[in-house]
Amino acid sequence: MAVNVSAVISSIWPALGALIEDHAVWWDADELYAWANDTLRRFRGARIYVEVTTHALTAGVQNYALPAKASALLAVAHEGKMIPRYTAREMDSLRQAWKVYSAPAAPEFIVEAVTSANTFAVVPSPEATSGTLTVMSVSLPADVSSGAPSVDIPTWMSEILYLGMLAGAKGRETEGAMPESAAAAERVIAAIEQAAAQLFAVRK
Amino acid sequence: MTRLQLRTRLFERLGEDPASPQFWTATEANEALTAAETVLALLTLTARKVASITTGADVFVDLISALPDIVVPLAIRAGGVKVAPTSLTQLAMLNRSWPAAEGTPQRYALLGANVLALYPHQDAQSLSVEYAYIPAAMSSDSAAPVVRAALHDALVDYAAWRMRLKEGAQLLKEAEPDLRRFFEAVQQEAALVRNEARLNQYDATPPEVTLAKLMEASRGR
Repeated sequence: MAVNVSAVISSIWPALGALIEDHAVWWDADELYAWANDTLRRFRGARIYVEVTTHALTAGVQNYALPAKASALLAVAHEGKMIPRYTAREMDSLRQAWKVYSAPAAPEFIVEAVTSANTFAVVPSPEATSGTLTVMSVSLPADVSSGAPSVDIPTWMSEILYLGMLAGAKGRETEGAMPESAAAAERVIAAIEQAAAQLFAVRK
Repeated sequence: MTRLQLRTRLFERLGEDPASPQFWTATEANEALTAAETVLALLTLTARKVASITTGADVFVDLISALPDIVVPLAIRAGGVKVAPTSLTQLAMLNRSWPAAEGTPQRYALLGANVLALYPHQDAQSLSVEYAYIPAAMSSDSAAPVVRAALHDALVDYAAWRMRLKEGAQLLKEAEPDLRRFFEAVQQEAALVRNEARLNQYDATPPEVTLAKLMEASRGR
């Protein structure tokens, strides 16, 4: 079950002085979807959304990408076995030649952000294609749009989206702008985000 | 109070004739009351219920699909035995191969708001999940909120502030005490629920957002 952002948008029009989109003077639905996506991104501090993805462990491939919207790597398992995670600095201490270390055996370590922020490396580099890597990461839900208005987020996020979209609309410089309403909505979002972070922030 | 009674109070608070409001519609008022109950339930975990879910073959359970109205699990039982909450690190210390372990779940890790990892896990495992949830919108004017009656005025407080967002300016400023009262009610209810959670040995308690932080939100600082 997901939150249908088009339903949230329908409930926003009256707050923008219009019963339906056609009656809205200064805003349109595409802008509201954009503000919904902004809100989902801004709410990332609460770390409420976790994505579990897989990669085939491939011969000769040492670096693997996190999901496109991932903001933090939580853990990686290979064929159901957790792989200890180290920083590049720690690996330099453990095994200086780790970047050129390859072996047919299963990965012994994971090293974060070796080639870019959204990648991790397996050590040793696999000499054979073998099994599946399961990647757990803190991420963001998919973007919403008029063509894809549903998003897999908790039900209560619909109120965050309402306030976020209203803040976007009221905060934009138009004759219908109400910066004080935008600021008030954003302050309440910030308070709820702090609460959500306590409830959900992932413990590694 | 019923939805009709709450909406009447809300319109009176906003200076509208409840029988024929001019600036807002009954639908806007109903949605604002639903939003108020949503925020209240999220911040206090006061609405709780039990449901059964059946796991698939995967070690990870998609909570949003399994329990669409969930906020957070409070107690999970497998075959009547409590499944203990833990973290990914603790699971890895317990058994590095925990994702592959099969059997009746003994521990779970909540990952964000949407993923539950079970250790061990098995296909078609029935779990009893007691959880905090977001009440559905009241379906008719004769329906009442799920939250206890002592909190009904707080719903009107949040709904009044939310509806004033449409007007902005001085009228929104005048609604700040409404928002402050709502957050004070949240604090009081969260303290009660925290105590109940200790007695029931729940796995989650309401977030301890300080009153100062919430007041900051209501005062605009």
